[in-house]
Amino acid sequence: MAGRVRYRELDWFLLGVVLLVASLGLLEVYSTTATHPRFANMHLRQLAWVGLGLLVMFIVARLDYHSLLDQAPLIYLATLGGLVAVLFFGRQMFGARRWLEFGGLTFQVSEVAKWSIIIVLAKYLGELRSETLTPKDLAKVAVLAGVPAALIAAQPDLGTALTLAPIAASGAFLSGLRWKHIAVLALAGLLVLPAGWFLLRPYQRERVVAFLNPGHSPQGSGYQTLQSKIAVGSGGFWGKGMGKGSQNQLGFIPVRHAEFIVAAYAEEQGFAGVLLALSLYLILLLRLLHIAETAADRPGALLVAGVFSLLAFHLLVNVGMVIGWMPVTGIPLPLLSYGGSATLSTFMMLGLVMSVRLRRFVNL
Amino acid sequence: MRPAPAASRTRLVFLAAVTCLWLGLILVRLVDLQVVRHPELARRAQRQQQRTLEITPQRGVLYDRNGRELAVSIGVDSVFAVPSEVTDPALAARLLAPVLNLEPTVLEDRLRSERSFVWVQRKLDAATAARVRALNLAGIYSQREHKRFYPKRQLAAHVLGFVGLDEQGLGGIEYSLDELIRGRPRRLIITADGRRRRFERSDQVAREGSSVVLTLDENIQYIAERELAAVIARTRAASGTLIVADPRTGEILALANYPSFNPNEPTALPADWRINRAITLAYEPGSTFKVVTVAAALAEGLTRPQEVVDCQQGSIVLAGHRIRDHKPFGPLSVRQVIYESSDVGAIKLALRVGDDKMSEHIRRWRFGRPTGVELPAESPGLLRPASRWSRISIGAIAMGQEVAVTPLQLTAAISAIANGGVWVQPRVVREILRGNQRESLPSSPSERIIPVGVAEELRRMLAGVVAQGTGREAQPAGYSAAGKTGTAEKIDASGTYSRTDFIASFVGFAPIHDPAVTVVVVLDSPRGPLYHGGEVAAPVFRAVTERVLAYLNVPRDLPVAPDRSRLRAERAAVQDFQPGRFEPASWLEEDMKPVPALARRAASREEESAAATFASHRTSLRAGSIVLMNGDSVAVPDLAGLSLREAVERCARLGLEPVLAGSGVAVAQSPAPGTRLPRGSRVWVEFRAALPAALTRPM
Repeated sequence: MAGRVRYRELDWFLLGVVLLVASLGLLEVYSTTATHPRFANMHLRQLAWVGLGLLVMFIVARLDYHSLLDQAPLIYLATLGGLVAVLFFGRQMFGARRWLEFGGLTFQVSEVAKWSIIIVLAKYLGELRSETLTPKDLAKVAVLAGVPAALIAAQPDLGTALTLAPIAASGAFLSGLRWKHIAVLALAGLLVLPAGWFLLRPYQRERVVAFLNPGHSPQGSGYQTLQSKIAVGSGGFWGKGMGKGSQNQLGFIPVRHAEFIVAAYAEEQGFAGVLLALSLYLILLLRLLHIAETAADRPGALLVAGVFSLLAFHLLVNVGMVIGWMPVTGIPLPLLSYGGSATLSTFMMLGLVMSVRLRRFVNL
Repeated sequence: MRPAPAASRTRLVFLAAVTCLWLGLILVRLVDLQVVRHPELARRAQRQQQRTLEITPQRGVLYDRNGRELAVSIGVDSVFAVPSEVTDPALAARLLAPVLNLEPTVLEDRLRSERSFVWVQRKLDAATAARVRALNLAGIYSQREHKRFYPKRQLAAHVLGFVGLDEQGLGGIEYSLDELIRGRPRRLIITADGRRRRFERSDQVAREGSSVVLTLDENIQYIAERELAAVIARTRAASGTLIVADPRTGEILALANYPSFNPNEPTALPADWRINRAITLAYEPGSTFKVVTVAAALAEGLTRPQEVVDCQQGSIVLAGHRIRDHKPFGPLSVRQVIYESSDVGAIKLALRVGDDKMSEHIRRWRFGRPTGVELPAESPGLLRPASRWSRISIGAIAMGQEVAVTPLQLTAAISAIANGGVWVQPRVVREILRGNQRESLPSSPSERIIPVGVAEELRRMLAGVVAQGTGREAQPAGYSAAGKTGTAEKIDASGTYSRTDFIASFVGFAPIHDPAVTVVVVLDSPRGPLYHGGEVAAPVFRAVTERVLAYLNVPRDLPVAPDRSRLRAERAAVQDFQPGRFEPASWLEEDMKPVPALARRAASREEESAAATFASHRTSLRAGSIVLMNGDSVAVPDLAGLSLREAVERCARLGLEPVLAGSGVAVAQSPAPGTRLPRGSRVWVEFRAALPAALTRPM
C-alpha cells in the first residue's frame, strides 16, 4: 500500500458534480433566507461549511481506508459511547436530546454514527469469505446496526435512526444475501410495520396520520405537506424565478432553508430546475455505484455502497416528503439543505469514497 | 491487470435500476404537480396569500330640493377574520356566535377557511361591534364600512330606491345614477404570510360619491303620501299612485305609490311593493284620455267648443257594435262632452279626426314611449300603430281604451295643457354636487304639442269639469282648478271589461291661471259604493292641492266660502300638516305602514333595528355574551348643532335610537343632554334647515 496520494487520480468528475449540487443548494439557501433578518448571511455560513467539508474530504481521502477499517471496533465502541452520553448529557432542543456540547460547539453524534456504521459494516462484511450471506451473519449485521439505531431512536430521532437501515440493507445485499431471504425479510417487515405504530410517540403518530390523510387537519400536521405541495405546484414548469416564490418568501413553506428546501427550489426554479438537480443527483449516485464496482477490494466496495445507500435514502425520503409521498421527517437533502453537521458528514463520507477511488489499483 | 470485481455487478446494477425507477416516479409526480395541477395549485397559493378587498365607498347624499337629506351614508363596522391567525376556531366561533346571532358551526367553518380573509358579519350596529371587539379574539378584526341610511324611511322610497350589501344601487335614483352616487371604493390588498401575520396595502384611495339634489320637496312628498294612504284606507284600493309636478319645469315635487316599502330594509316586504307604479303601471286611462280626443278634433279644426253634438241618448253603433254611454245624454256642446265625460260625444269627435290623424295626435302627446325621467324601468305604455287598429279601435281609443299609459305620462300630458301647450320632460334630478362643485342640469327638453289656442280652450274645459262637471269634488278651497275624471273598467281574468274592478283617476292642475302644480291621482280597484274617479280620486286632488298651494305660498284666487272653510279648519286642527312644526318621525311608520304588513311582519331582528339602523336594541344580554362596560344606561349626548348624520352616528354609538324630524342641524332634543336612559331608548331630535353652502340659493 502506497502512502503517497496522487491528486491527479482523485475523482474530479465526482467532485465536479458534488460542487454543482452544492452551489444549487447555496443559491437556494440564499433565496430562502436573504430576506429574513433572523437568517441573514446563512448562505455564507453554508459556504463556509462547504469549504470546511472540502478540506475534511481531502484529509479523509489521503487516509488509507484500510487503516480506518482496522480501527472499526474502536470506532464502533466510541460511537456507542457517544450515543449513550447524548441520552444522559445531551443538550435538549425542540424536545429531543440530539446534541453534545463541547465548549461553545454543539455537535450531533448521530451524524457521526452513520459514518461509523458504514465503516463497521464494511469491515465486518468485507472479511466474510463466502459468496452468500448466512442468516447468522445477517443477524450479526442487524445487531451491529440495530444497537446504535435504537439509541438514536431513543433521543428521539426516528428519521436518523432509520437511515442506518439502508446502510445495513445495501451491505447485506451486496454481500450476497439470498433473494429467498430478502423475500422473507420483506414480508416480515410488512407484518411488523403496523406493530411499530405502538412504538411511535404521539407527535410521530400524528405525522403518520397527517401523511395518510393530509386533509385531516390542513392547519396542523398536514399543513406542512400541503403547503409544500402548493409551493411545488405553483412553481409550474419554469418556476417563479429566484427570490420570487411567494410560498417561500411569505413563509408558507416550513423550514424552507433546510428539510423543505426542495419545495422552495421547485417553486422558484420550476420543473426545469428540479429536473436539473435530480439529474445531477442521479449522476452522483450512479458514479458512486461505478466506484463501488471498480473498488480494489470488498471492504472498499462496501464502504462506497454504504455511502451510496445513505445518500440515496436521504434523496428519496426527502423529495418524497416534499411531494407528499412520505411522512414529514427531519431528514434533510445532503448538499442542498442548510446544515453544518450534515454537510460536514456528507463531505467526510465523500472523502471515504475518494480514498477508495484513489486506491482502486491493488498494486499501487 | 484488473482484479475480479469486489462486488457483484448484477447487484450493483440492480441498485442503480431501483434508484432510477424511484427517481422516475418522482419525476412523474412532479409533472403532475408542476404541469398538470399547476393552475389549480397556483390559484390555491394566490388565494391563501392574497385577497383584494373593496371597502364600500361613501355614497353621495340624496337631498330634496331644499337640501334636506333623504339618503345618507354613515360609518358602520364590519367584522372580518384572518383565518390563519385564529388560534382556536371552535372557541372563537362559540364566543362570536351568540353576539352575532349566527350558527356556531357555520361560523367555525368560515373561520377554518383556507382563505387569507373572510367576512364574518357585515355592517353591525355599534353595540354589537363593541361587543365583538371586547371579546378580543386573535385574528378577528373590524373594518370601517359605509351603510346607506334613509332617515325618512318610507318617504319617497320609490324615487330614492335602495342599495345592496355592497352599497350598490338596486332601485330608483340609487340605481339609475349609481355610478355617479357610488363613488370610488378604497381597495385593500391583504397579504397573509405563513407566520400568521397579515400586511395591508391600499392601491386605490376612496372617493366620496357625488350628491344629488332631487326635485322632490320633502313636505309635498309627505302630503302626497299621507293623502294617498288616507284614500287607500278609505276606499280599500289595491294600489295607488299620486304625483305632484311643476307643470312649467317638469319637476316632480312628489311621487307617491302605495304599497310602499322602507328602503332601510328593502327585502322585508314583498318584492312587488317596491314597484314604482307611477312609471311602470301602464293602464287604460279611460275618460281622462278624452282630453286628447277633443284636443285632436280642435287642433284639426274639425269642431268648435260651442258646437253641439248629438249624444244620441247614450248609444252609438260602431262597425256593428253598440256602445253605451254611462248616461243617456242628449245634445251636448263639445265643452259639455268634457264636463259630463260623454263617451258618445268623444267617439263622434274621434270619428271625424280619423284613425291616422288620431294616432298621430296621440303620439304627439308622447304616449307610447317613456317620458325619459331619470328613473329605471320606465314603461312606454301601449299604443298600437293605426295600421293595426280594428274598425272599432277609434271609438275605444276616443274614450281611453285600447291604449295604456303610465301615471307619469298622464302627468306630463296634463302639464302640457297647463303650460300653454308645451310638453316638458318630467324630471326628478335637479342638481349634482361633486365635492364642492355644484352642477345644475340643463332644463328639461320641451316641445309644443298643441297650439296655444287649443291649450287655452282645453284649460277652460277642464276648469269647467271642476266647476260644474264630474270633477266638482276636486274643487279646492280658495283656488281655481282644472282637471278631468276617469273611471276605467279593468280587464279581468276572462279578458272582458270587469264590472267590479275599476281604475279611478283624476288628473288636473291649479290654479287655472299660471298653474303651480299638476296633480295626478290613480287608484287601482277601489272597493265599496264609491269607485268613480270623480268620487274617490277628485277629493284627493282637492286635499293635496289645498295643502301644497298653501305650502308653496301661492296666492288664493277664489274667495273661501265661510261654511267650507270652517269645516276645513276643524279638519286642519286635527291633521293638517304645517311645515316646520315638530313632528316625530314615527308619523310615517304609523300612517304609511300598509295594514296587511303589520300582520305579516313579526318582530324580526331586522325590523327591530330598523328605526335607527344601528341603535342597539338587544340590551338584554344573553348568557355567555360579554357584558358591556358601564352597565345598561347611558347618558344622552348633547346633539345640538350636529348634522343629521353626525347625530345618528353619535346616538348609534351609545346604543340609542334617534327619532328624527326635519333636516339640517339639530336644534332641539328630548330628553335633555345628560339624562340617563336605558340602551335602546328613543331620543327625539329636531333639525332645522341650515343648508350646506352649496345649497343656499332661493328655490
